[in-house]
Amino acid sequence: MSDTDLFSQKPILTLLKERSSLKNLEEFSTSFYSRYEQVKNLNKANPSSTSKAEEDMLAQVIEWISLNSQGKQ
Amino acid sequence: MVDKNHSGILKNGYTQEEMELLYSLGKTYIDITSYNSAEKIFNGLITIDPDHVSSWIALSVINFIRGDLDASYSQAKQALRINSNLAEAQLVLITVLLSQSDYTTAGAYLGEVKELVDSKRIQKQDLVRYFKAQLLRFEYRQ
Repeated sequence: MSDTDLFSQKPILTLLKERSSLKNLEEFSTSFYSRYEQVKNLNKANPSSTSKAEEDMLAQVIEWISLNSQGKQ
Repeated sequence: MVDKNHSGILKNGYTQEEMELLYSLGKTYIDITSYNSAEKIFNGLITIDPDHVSSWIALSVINFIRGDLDASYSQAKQALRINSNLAEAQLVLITVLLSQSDYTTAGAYLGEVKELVDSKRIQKQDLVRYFKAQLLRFEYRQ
């Protein structure tokens, strides 16, 4: 979508910082997976931990990576 | 737009490149209108780095689109607390204030952004267009 299209369709999105390519995301998959396991175990041991948001974020990242790698097969 | 505290080293174990990738994934989820997924990414980012101003703006935008003006307002204020001169943060707050019919406060912020536009400190044309659109909303208020 070009910038002009974006402005005419949802102008408020022009306030967001531009994103970079996600092609490098898979390179970090090992690191995201291990961090997810670590945070999940931490939250299991301490349910009042403030890392729930981090766990949810990492789960979302892993879902994206999984769906994209399935799409490539 | 530059996020403060991104020295390029590590933020709670995350490198700047990882933070950028996470932001980009969140923005991608917004682009495909998966707002719940985007929200999870940005909530995670502000847990890692509470001063991640781009994530606060993104959360404010998501809640504005959903129609949750109270959440959108408080997230826009958080962004401004981190960087009070950031035009994007001022503009998202103005958008919310106009929707809340708080024209006095919106007018004050519009004056600040107008100075940035007039002095050409805002270069991005879409931001200038967005400002003009909000100015019209303000001028033609009921």
